[in-house]
Amino acid sequence: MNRLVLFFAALAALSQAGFAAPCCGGTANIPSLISGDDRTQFTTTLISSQVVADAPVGGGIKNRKVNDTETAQTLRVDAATLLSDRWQAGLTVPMTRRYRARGDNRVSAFGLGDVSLNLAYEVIPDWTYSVWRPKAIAFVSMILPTGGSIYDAKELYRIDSRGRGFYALSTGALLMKSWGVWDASLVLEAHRPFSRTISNELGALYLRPGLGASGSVAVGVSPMNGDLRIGMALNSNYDSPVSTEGVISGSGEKIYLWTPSAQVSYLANEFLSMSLLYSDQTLIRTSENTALNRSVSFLIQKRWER
Amino acid sequence: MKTKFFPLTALALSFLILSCGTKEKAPATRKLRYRTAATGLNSCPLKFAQSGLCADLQWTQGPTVDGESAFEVSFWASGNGSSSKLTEPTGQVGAFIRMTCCGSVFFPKVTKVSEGKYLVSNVKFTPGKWEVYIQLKNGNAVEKQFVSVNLDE
Repeated sequence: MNRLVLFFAALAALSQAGFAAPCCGGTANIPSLISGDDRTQFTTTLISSQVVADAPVGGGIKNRKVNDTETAQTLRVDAATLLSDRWQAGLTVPMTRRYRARGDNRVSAFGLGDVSLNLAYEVIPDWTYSVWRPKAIAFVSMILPTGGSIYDAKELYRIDSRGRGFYALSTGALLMKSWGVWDASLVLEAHRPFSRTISNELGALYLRPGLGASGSVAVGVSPMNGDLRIGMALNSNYDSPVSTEGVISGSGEKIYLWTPSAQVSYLANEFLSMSLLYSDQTLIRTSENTALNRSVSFLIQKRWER
Repeated sequence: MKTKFFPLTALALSFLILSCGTKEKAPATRKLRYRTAATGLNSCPLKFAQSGLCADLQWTQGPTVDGESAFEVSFWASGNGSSSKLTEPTGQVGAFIRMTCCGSVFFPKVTKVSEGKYLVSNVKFTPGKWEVYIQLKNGNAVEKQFVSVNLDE
């Protein structure tokens, strides 16, 4: 039983592993879902990250210079509760402080990131035992551009950008399965950001973001069926280019981001767990057109039984 | 049976919304062919053909990512005109910068300095490749030209 509870608790960290770079420190595409037999869950996560390199448009890695320090600290709160036996609703609220020092310049900004509202349905329950059939939860999220973005930022280095800048609808599914002390999960997600317009005396600028998708695969083991779980995960994220029309017609470039992570989770009791997560986006060198960071996350999750 | 169909229908609808969202209709504008401005002796670095003007820009601050940048843009008549005799454009002078990687556009402040000369200030770059645009707008007629700025380190 412990290993199952621990597995479900550890799944909350999947949404942290996919957390975006500090520039876009808003909501990850994967919501924090109730995956176990709980009625309500409340997750608080502290994420500390540093940009260590950039992945240029053509790929590769370009390390940041020693006199260029960019960090972010995010406090993220996820709440989810059952609406019925199989339906659940959730809310994610991140607060982010960004800091950058280059030479003699030091700038920082703090504020709300992109808030998201989630609705999920347990498509395949695990009411009966099956060796192969996973439990599956499908979800839909609405992401609100409350964090500002590179399109809205006014400060040096766009330090006041904490989100993606678009309303977006996201949908996907979480599949999970455990065998003995081992467990595995898979999340597939697709998102559609919506166009927006910026108007000023030069005219109207139409920003048209393209479709995006993300995925996460994770495996874990609870040694001796105890209160500890060790896991690894690989997240990937793709975003189509943002094109512009109106004041200027053109197109940006696509974004690829890979995030491998390692995780240790501990079950303090049946309704309280914590996880420590480390991720390094420079380990897989195929990311493109994004900042690459290393991050440490600490997550505490409180759950209430049905 | 109904309870099984409702969630599936809701999910199918959400996929449909994701793939078929509406597109805003953008106004018809002349598509600009990206190019690098010509430079050289007796040249017209930025040519505004419809307005019959040439322009050039001179950085007074930067370009840099570590602070605000600023430049002056001067206009003169193309053809027999000369950069030593500036000409005031008949339309509105505007400027913006665009980062090529991300499509992000930033609008700096434009102030008239004298006849045919404008100061573009409060330009904030981040590391990367940028295009600095000068725009002339006269009613519905809009002309734009740009110079490339590479702040990739």
